[in-house]
Amino acid sequence: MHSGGALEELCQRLKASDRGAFEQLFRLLREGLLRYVRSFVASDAVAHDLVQDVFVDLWCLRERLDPSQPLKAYVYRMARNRAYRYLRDERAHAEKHAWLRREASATSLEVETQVGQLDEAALARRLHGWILALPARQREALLLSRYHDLSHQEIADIMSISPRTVNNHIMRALEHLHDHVQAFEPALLAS
Amino acid sequence: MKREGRKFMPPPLQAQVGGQSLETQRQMERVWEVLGQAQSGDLKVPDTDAAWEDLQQRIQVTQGKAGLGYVADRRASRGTRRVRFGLSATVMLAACVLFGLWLWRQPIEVTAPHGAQTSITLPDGSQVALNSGSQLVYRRGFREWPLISAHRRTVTLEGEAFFEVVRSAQPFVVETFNARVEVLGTQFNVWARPEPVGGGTRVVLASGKVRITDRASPTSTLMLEEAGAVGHVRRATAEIISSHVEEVDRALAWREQGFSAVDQPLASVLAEVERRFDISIEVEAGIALTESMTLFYGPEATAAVIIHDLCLAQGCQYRKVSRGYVLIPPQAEL
Repeated sequence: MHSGGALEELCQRLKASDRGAFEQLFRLLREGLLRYVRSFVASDAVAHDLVQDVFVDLWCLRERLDPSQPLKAYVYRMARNRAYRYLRDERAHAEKHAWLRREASATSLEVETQVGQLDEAALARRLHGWILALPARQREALLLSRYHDLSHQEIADIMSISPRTVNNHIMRALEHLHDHVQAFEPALLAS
Repeated sequence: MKREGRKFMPPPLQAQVGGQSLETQRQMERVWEVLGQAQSGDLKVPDTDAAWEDLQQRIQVTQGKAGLGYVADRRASRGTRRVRFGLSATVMLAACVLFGLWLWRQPIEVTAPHGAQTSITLPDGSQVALNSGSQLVYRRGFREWPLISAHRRTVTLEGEAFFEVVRSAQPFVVETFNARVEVLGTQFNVWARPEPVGGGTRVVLASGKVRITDRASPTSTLMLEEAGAVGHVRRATAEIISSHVEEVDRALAWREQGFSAVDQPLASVLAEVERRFDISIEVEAGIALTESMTLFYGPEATAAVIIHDLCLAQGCQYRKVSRGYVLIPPQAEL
């Protein structure tokens, strides 16, 4: 993971319209943004389009960037806004929820049929399913913290909530997941 | 594919978990750790290199020509856009103003169709009665341009009209195809028709004073100063013929739904009958169309009566057809 310092330097160069810095940022942040946006929208293709849009926006407003502000949180916030605007515009909220429920229930069905097989792939799938089944805000906070290497403060900025609420969301999410893991395979927690 | 991510809990979480029992703390840390094994499916998206190519193209398109330099100042380009917007707005506004002006300058046309008569009140309050098949044209408020008051009141006439002009400092001018009639405040009739036989402009004064000018030779003028004075600018000759009618009302019988002609060739009288009663009159060869006639009918005038009398006077015959009449020359004695 890149430290905030490296990002700050890239931000500095991007502000000066350095194309190389822009490419580096793109390669650094794209994957994470894709996964983050994908957690809102129902298709990979839409997530890809939205992330491309985010980078076009970023290039367009590069001169107005403030390098003292955390760039990564800023870009995530742009992505979040894009995703929400997309959902609003497409009136896709219903679709989104339908999709989430479908995926979540499909995964829990799998859990029923595969009890007892403690191979890694099964665990990975189940964890994925449990995460999807979390309430949206808890899931978002947890994902950003666990997989995107963002501080509480940054997550708070992205989600427009207080760092304390971020902490509560993550705590709740962990408690939910703890219950699932314990019910599924207590041995995992014992080691 | 596994999601690794951050291996340890961030400090605020640790602090909160730390407040609980050792067992809970350990289990929560374990959950956090286990999450590193969660599945993260492959996203079906273009790979990073392809996405970068795509992005570069889009940025170039977004920036348009400025994209070639790649370091275009967005604020500057926004500035030029504003200038361009302002420019196009100005052009649009100018176009609107010009169009409005053009619309404003469209002359007002009043027409009395064949078989009907019309009366008009002009912007200065003057009254105009328009005979059948006549057209009066004037500018809005007599003005050439908006807000600039005209130094005279000009109307253009083709056909016949009786004017009752309100007195004013601005002279009132009736323009016809070959003459100009200028007045200050008076009542008069103008007949102006560019017909080949008997065509011209004939002015009959009812009261006041008018000056008639031949438009072809502006030095040739005639003042009409007493009621019944007639000025005639003929189509063929340059001179203005002055004459007099005893009874103005008779000469202007059309105003009372009557019909009259003073010393007019037959062709001209027939054309007037056609317009007045909205019929068509066909004349067969052998009838002397240039012969002058004088007629008068009161308000009870009808085409049938007039045609009958005309034929009687000319010694010709006529036949009624669906749209009007056919005039037939006197039959040779059999």
